[in-house]
Amino acid sequence: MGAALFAAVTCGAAAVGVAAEPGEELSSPSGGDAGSGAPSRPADGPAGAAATASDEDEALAEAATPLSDRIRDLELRLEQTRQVAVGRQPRVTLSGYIDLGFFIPQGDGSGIVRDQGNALFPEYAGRYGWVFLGDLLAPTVNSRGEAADLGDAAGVERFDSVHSRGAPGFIANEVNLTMTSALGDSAIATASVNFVPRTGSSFSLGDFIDVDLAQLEWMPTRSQKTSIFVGKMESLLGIEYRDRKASNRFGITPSLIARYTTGTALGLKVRSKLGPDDVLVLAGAVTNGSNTTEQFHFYDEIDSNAGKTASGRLALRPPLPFELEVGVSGSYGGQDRARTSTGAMWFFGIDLMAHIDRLDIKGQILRGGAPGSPADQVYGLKLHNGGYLELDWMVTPLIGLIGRGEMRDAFVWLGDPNAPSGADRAYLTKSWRATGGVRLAFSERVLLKAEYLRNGEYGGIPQIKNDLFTMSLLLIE
Amino acid sequence: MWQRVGSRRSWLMAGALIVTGAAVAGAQEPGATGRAGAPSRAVGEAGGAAPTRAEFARLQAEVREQKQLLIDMLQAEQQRYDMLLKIIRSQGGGAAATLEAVPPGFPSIVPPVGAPATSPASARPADERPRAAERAAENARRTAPLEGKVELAGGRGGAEIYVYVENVKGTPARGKSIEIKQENKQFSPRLAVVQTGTNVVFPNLDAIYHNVFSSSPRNSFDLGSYRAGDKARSVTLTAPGVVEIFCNMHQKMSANVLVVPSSLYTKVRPDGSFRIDNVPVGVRRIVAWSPGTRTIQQRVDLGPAGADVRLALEREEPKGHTNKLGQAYGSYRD
Repeated sequence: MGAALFAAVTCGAAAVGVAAEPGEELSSPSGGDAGSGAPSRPADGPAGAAATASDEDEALAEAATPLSDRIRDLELRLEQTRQVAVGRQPRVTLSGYIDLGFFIPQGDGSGIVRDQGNALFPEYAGRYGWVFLGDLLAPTVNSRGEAADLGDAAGVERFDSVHSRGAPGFIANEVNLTMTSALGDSAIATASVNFVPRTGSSFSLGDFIDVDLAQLEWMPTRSQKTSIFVGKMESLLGIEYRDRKASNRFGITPSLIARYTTGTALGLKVRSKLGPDDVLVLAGAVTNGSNTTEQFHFYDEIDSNAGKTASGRLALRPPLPFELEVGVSGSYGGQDRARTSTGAMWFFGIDLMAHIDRLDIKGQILRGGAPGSPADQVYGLKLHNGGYLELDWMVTPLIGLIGRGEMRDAFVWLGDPNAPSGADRAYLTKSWRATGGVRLAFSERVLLKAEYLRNGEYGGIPQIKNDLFTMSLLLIE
Repeated sequence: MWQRVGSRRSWLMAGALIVTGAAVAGAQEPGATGRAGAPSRAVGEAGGAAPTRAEFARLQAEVREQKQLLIDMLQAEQQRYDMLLKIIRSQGGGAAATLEAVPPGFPSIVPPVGAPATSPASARPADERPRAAERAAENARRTAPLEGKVELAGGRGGAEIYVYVENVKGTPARGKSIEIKQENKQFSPRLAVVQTGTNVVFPNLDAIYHNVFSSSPRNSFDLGSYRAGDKARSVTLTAPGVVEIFCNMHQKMSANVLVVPSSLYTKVRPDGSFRIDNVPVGVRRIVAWSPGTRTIQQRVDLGPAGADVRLALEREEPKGHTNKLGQAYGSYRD
């Protein structure tokens, strides 16, 4: 009825206008002919009156329309505009960051020393050609886990991506581009690509591209609490994989055990949150290889054996006044890079994560092993123990402090120590590390972080001069 | 509401007719002067001389005067309505509630808009208007209690249930404000009931950024990203209904605000019963809702003696929600 009235009044008003200037466009600013062929008329003639009439018509129509109708119209238009805006959203969302760094290493930047003449560990004499002490990746400069220098280990060709030789320097840690595409309401395709500028050699560029994520996540249930992933995807071991990227990590450097748990593997994964308030989280995956990081000894993106790696995690989130998640996780499968599945690589660990007010507590303990495969030049591993406890405290919204204590007790070797000639080499690690740092969140998109890594050794290994100071400026889009 | 609109519309109808008439009259005249040297067929057929520019201007001036008169009438009508509203509020027991629909058995102040044009509201004798106002006031004073019971399928547990009267519009709660904090990656409280027009402020007490938004129809908003220390952002909820509120960064963060049109709402007692007093008599739409259910609605013919209503809510299977772009969050955004 309201519409009818509005139409009647509008019609009347329009009739006035038409009567004033039959056959002409009332809205014509010049009041001139609208293609009818009639001569134009003076601007101060009836056309001026018509324009006035038009204004009045509008005022009249506006006054005559009930307020509620107008509000309804506006709401309808608003909703339609919103739908148009949503409809015009790009199908692919681009995000990413630029991670710029500066670091000051100690010594030659390397985390290992050679046990010359088996002077420190004579028990390895005759069984391992070279014995190195310390941790290759302890002097970490960035969230990628790159070491300031990998040292000059004899007999191996390595891509020493930073290779600072102990000199302080600036570094563009990585430029990350993440593409996300929603395939309907229940599926997302994600790709994360890192552009990593490094020193070239032999007249070739050293820059490289690292695709660390290329996955499809499908949530088949209405509650969207179950996800099925396929592709190159996040790990499910422990909790550190969630913070593996520089933009998510509170501090800069990964823990000493991140090399075993934060790599992205190719395969299939199912993750489900169950119970009220998602009290139980279950995840299981089948992947080509382990979740070791790609630049490490063990990673196997494309499998060379038929034995796939199965992994799983069970976590509890008890209903408490603060957020707490306690989990156990593990993996077992054919050893990475081996041509047969006879040797198994395994990891098992427990993890804890709590969020209390402005304090985050994160902890993890991990063990693992692999027999190695001398025939395939595959390293063996005995991870006796590794773990960390990290406290992240946002003192103010601008300033955050990080403290982390950790250790790693491992033995890594290449070759067969029982062979007449012995194994090729061994790395004996009994390391601890204390990390202190600050995080300045200038805005949602600009972060500045600084960390000091105090690396130490125990168990008869001499102290290696490999402490490190590192900074990171993150520009997030 | 309908009464108000109906009254105004009657006046408008009369005005519209005047304007239309004026338009028709004007249409017979001005063409010739509008096109110098090209007399209009209408004028020529009438056999009279073409009107002069002065005559045309005079006619247009008359039209303008008539339209101005119409606008004045509309304004007068608005003032009359405001006055009537004041009378109702000062006398009525229902106070804040005004009638959206005319309860059965009560004549409206003016005939409905669809009434014949021969008896427009403007033709109503002036002395009838005060009587109509009295009737409206009396109508508003006639309220009754609404009682009933709500059942939640599968057992209620500790779920909160609310019932409100939908088709009674109250005065918008201009100036009223509530706070829903973002703290420890949760909204607190996670459920609020407000009247239309209430401003909801969302202070962020976390050191991390949150982005509060809602895609609920008629109450959609996006407050952008901010953190503790930043000025809290707010939204005024203007339309009744359930508003689902989320954070664009943390999927687990969710809250519900039930926006009710008037003060005629209540929280259902633990035994499922409820009572709302001072509900204007007439056909009323009663709405019940609880978090995790869809709203249900029931029409009730509320007489002077009150009414008893039974409502049954059903739980919805939990449904995931999308981010502000309408895209799925992904499993790890919590």
